[in-house]
This record gives sequence, structure tokens and C-alpha cells, in this order.
Amino acid sequence: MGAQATADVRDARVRLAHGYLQLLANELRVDILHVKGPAIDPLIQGVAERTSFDADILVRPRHVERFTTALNERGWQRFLGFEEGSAFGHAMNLRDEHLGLVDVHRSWPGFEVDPATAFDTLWQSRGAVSIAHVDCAVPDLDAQCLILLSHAARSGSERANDIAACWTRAADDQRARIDALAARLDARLALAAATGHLDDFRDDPKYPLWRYFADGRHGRLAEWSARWRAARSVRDKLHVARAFLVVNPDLLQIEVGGRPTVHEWTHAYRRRMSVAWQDLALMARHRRRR
Amino acid sequence: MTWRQAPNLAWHWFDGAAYVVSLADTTIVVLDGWSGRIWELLASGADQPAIVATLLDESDGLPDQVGSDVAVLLAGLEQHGLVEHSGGGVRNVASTVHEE
Repeated sequence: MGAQATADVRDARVRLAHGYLQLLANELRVDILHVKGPAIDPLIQGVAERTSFDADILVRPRHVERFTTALNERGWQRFLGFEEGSAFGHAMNLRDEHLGLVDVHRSWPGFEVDPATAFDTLWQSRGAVSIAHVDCAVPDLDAQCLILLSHAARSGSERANDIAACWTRAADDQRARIDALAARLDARLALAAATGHLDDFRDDPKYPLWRYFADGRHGRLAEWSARWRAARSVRDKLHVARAFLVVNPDLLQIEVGGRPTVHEWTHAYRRRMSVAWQDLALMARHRRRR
Repeated sequence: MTWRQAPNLAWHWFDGAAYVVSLADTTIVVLDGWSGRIWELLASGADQPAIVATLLDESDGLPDQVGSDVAVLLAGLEQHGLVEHSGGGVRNVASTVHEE
């Protein structure tokens, strides 16, 4: 099968996954919004035709547990949990042997208002699009742009097309509406990271994290350092420390290809501690040099 | 007989075939050839006689044979939970087509 044919099959599968998720949401009376991929408005030129690898949805936060439990009951396997997936702890990845991967978002990185308020804001102005012949709820055009822009801000230079489509080529009035929405969702930092104005937010505690993503830097040390500095409360800092030290059970399961044995757990912890000590030593050395 | 696509299905037309998945089962059913064409006609609201008539127009088949094939394919789709009756009387489609 050629590359294009493979992409077409993947696209068909992603569309079916979106349709399936909406059918399930309808049955459970769960509110979901479809984002990215086939949910993108065709008016956002240059983005809509791109193929997705998974189906992305944003779920009303108080409905998340009901929805993910129902997916589990229907045979969907958890691939990565909320806490394990990213620095933002925003999405759970689940996999079905036929429909592939879905990303269930409980919040959107960059939207700093509480997730329930953010969802309500997007829900109130939602539209609908038919995906796989199922009416799927989607954010309105401006919200889709803000979602794509804040996603692009986390992706370094990989999503330059999204920035061009949603910001550079956007009319002034649309930019103003996106900016106003960013203000309502407390997402101006993320928007600034996407549009090249990140330094306007140098004093924001989350600046280092967005700077890390915007620069497209890679490396454990830089990421952990940024996550630590972005954590505002003691609770948040403890959370980062825990993630730094604790072995991720989902990732270990993927690595060993099944349920890890005691020996594999022990080995993973030894390795984790060793890496953590090396990182800490490196961090201390950097600090002394400064 | 009048049929319609069952509720709680997602489907996508791709490369000459319908890819169908139901809420009850994520297995993707691929309907190609006549199955796919019947699916397409059902989606457009065609009833069984209309489906048979269309397929007769599009093929070299004999009315009895096409009518019987369509009936078998629809029964198969019903067995998979992909179509259901939507009212209307039960008719012998082959003979109906023949009469027409």
C-alpha cells in the first residue's frame, strides 16, 4: 500500500472514531467537542486537508470519568493516563484495535481558566459538523483557531501552517475576536507563544514552560526545569517532583509489552533514580556556573 | 419492503466502499461492490424496489436474479445490525420488479 493510500485508510479510521465517540456521547448524555483533524472548519485553509493520526475530543470535565469508564467497558485500552501523557496532564490516550487511538482531553493546555468554565465557553458557541455521517459538536471558528494556535505553540516550528492559517492570514477582525476569546479563557500567554510575542509575558510563572515548547528545545533537563518553575503551588510542585521520580506505569507497560513483572519494576525504578540523580547533579552544576 | 440504515452507526465512503462501524461493535464492516451500492442507495432513501430497479439499470442481471440478490444482501446487512425495517408491507421484490 502506498503512502497516500495508507494516509487515506488512516483518515477513514479517524473519521469513524470521531463518529463512534459522538454516538457514545449521545447515548451517555455526555457533552463532547470534536477538535482538530476532520473536525476543523474547511475555512481554515491549509489545515483541514491534513490527515490526523488520532481522534481528538474535549469532554465536559464532569463527564470525563463517565465517558472514559464507558470506553473501557467497551474494550478500549488505556494507552497513557492523564498524568502520564504530558506536562499539562490534559489528555488520556485510549486505543481500540479497530478504530485506533483517541485523545480524550479534560482540559486544553494554555487555557488557564478552570476547565469547566473553558468548556462552557466553547460549548455555548458550538456548531456541528457531519463526520462519518454523525452530527458532531465542534467549537466555533474562532475557538478552533485558538485551539490550533495554542497547540502550535507547544509544537515548536512543526505547526507553522496552523499559525499561518489561523493568525498570519487571518483578517484583523478575526484576530481581534480570537484575542478577545483568549482573554476570556486566560489563554493570552499561549496565544502570544504562537504568535511570537511570548516575551511580553516574561513575568508569568508559566513563561519558562511555554518558552521551552516555543523554542522546540528537547531534553529532559530543560523540560523538568520549566515544569518546576511553572508549578505555582506547593501541590503543583509536589506533583512535578512525583512525576520526576515515579516510574510511569503506562509507559513501562508499553516498553515491556505487557504487565510488568516485579523484576521489571525494580529495574525501571533503579534506572529512573539513576537518571534523576544525574539530572539533579547537572542542574546543580548549571546553577553554580550561573 | 422499506429498509433504512440502523441508528447508532458511523460510516464513511472511501475508495468505492462504505466503511461502517456501530456503537455496539467497533469492528469495521466494509461494504463494497453491490453491498456498497445498496448502502449508498439506502442512504439516499431508496426502498427495496427502487434499489432493485437501479441495479437492474446498472447491470446486465435478470430481474428475478437481481431481486433475489438484493434480498439476500439486505438480509445479511440486517443480520449484522446495519439495516432495519422502516415500515411498509412485505413484498416479493423479484416478482414486483418482474411485474414492473
